[in-house]
Amino acid sequence: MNLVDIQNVLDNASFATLGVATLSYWVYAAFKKPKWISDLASIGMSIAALTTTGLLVARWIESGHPFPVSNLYESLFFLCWCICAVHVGAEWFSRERLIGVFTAPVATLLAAFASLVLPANMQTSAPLVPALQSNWLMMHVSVMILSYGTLLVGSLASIAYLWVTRKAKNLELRGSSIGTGGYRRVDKAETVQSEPKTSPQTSYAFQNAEGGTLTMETEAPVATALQTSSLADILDNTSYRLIGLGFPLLTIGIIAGAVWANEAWGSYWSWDPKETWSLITWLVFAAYLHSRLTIGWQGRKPALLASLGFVVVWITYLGVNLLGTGLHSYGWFF
Amino acid sequence: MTSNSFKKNLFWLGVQRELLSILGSLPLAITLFLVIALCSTVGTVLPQQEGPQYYQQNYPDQGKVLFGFLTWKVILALGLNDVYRAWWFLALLILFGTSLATCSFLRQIPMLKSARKWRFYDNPKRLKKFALFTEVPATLEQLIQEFQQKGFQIHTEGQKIYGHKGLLGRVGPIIVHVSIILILLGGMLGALTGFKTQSMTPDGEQFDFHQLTSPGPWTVAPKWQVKVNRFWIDYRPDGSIKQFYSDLSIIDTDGKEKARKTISVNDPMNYDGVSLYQASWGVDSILFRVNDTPWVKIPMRPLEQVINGKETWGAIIPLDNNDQAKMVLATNGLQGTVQAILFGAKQPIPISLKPGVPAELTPSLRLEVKGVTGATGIQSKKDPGTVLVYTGFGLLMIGVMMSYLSHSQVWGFAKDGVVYFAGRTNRAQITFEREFMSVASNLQNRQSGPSDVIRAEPSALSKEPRR
Repeated sequence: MNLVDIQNVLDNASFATLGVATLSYWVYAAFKKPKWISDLASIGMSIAALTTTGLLVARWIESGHPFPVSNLYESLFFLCWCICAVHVGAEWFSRERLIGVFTAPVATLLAAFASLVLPANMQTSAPLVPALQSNWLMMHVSVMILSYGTLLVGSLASIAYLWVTRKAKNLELRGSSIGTGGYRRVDKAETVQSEPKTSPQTSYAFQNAEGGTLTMETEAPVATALQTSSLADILDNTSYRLIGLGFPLLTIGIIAGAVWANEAWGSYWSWDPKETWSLITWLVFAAYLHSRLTIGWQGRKPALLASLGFVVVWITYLGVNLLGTGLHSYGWFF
Repeated sequence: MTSNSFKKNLFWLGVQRELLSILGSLPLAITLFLVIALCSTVGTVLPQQEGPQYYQQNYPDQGKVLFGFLTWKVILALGLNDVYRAWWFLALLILFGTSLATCSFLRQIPMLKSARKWRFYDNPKRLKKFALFTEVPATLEQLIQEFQQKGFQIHTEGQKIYGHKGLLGRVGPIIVHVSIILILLGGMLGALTGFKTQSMTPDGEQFDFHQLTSPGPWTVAPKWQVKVNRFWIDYRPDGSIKQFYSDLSIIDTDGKEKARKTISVNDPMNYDGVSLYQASWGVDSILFRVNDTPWVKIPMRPLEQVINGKETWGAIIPLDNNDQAKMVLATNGLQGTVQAILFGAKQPIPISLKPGVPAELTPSLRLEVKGVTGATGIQSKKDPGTVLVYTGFGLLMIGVMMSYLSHSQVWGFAKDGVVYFAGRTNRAQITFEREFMSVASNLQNRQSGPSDVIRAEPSALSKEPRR
């Protein structure tokens, strides 16, 4: 088997695995059982992360480019890899499987678009045009796509949050950065209701009430009940941390692009459509990060801004190229 | 000071304070982010920097008006033809910068100051106000140990402790704000004192900086000239372009060469604060003759149409007075053949001319091309603001990474063999919660022996799957 065959196999395998993972997440979200199907979903995402890694490595060896992101096909699969990898990290961090309901289909669509919709001549690797022959290419493009992946998963967590809290009123989250959230809720009644799972109590196992109240039962002086995060809190904070991670990456990616442009063309900023939209993305997520500091803005409003960010990232990544003008119009079929 | 003027001062002081607090407020910041974002989209949808005729043709004020209001008059009046240089867009950016600075002084620095203060509490009621609060039978030393293991810096005062980590997470946003102000200032400096210009120069000729397209009000144009010693293109075997090269010399007013370098895309030349970039290229002329006439230089112009999927340059040579017989010369670049097409006969006659190889049409008519001369598109730029902008870039990257850190604080005290402790963090709530739980359960385990350790592991906090 040569490298091109390996790529074809891995390409199809990624798409198939992601499709299975998506279905598993949806089945599990709908019926809340069986447990193994949620495991299958998680394993599917991990396998997809590995197969896309293999695909990119095979492409890397074959093309001999400093980094295997030089056309749309490669960039789609790199973004797909980013989403899978960030998803695996987010699932591990949040210990929540709900995010997969939203991330898995996005990764599947990316893989499907790259391997089924793109014409075959655009899937093969090609030599780089003069403008892209620079070490900055790797720095700029890889960091940008990494930031897109992180921001997309982060905003999907916010969309999951909006889904979970769609019927809730009077949300009060603890995730605010000014510290209001650092204080105790007056009303312990939680917003996200589902039957509390009472595990058999022994001396002081932590009881994980779904409502988010965690009690420590001790024989010793009765410990004050610790309030911990509910599902909504967890999704909210996962989203915040991911966007908080994607934002520096986006900043570094834009700066790398600006410095590259200045070294190559003599202008660090030229209001090219792609540049402008990356700035718009930056501004929208900056608004999100600041909205979390604002009193009275916790909960759904920042999540709505993050969802807006989700749309804006797609415009920046793909939509701008539909215009077909500007510095970023090579390497694309539009 | 009379009491009246004192009152007046007090009034203005109040107004000033009110204005500043609005200027530094978060809702204004968020509004500015979104408004600037929205205005920026305009320039990516509406064609920018076209001539007035373009807008008159495409956005008429009679008949079908786009969205019912978007006529060329509106576009030109609002400066939508050049959004990013419109006065109101620049005003927005200035407001943005002012808001950033105000926010730093009014909010961030006081917050950092208060975050740096060590506070101690010994009243359970005070601690209970925190969402994360608990009490465990243990000693103060054990509590300190546990928090230190989690990376907290602990300060003690009697039986009270205060611990913190991630204070840099409060410094980061201040650096971010300062760096963005630097970038904005650098951009302004560049616009006021710099210049940027494009020139298309044929191989072997010179260009200077007498006519700058849009210099800033305080721009000083260089006196020296640039000579293009040679311009050439490297092609790949398949005919695609690999790289462009221009061999440039700087010539001073006395005609002396001061510096020389061969530039290519991604490898510019710097001289006297001016950078020279390989930006574009074209075909300038071809040397052509018929039979044994002297070589004639025929200027080539870019053609609208694309031939062979590539840009094409061409020239038309009339062969008679009534525009019937003519010859068209066309080429895709500096390499390969020149196409000559003769019109006037019944059928146009195409001829491929390879440089240096004469093509015999008839025994008495011979066409020959000696060579194709290219023109190099050089972008020249001087931007004294770059230093500020790059400093801003560097600081911005550092600041924005620091801002990921979460500033966590814990308070605790010991009383009658029980430790009471509480804590909070500003970003990583989930992680902090787990740390806090782990401290609480470790302290419990120390008291009750290792047999319960497993059950009290913090991972038991949330059993997957939740939902």
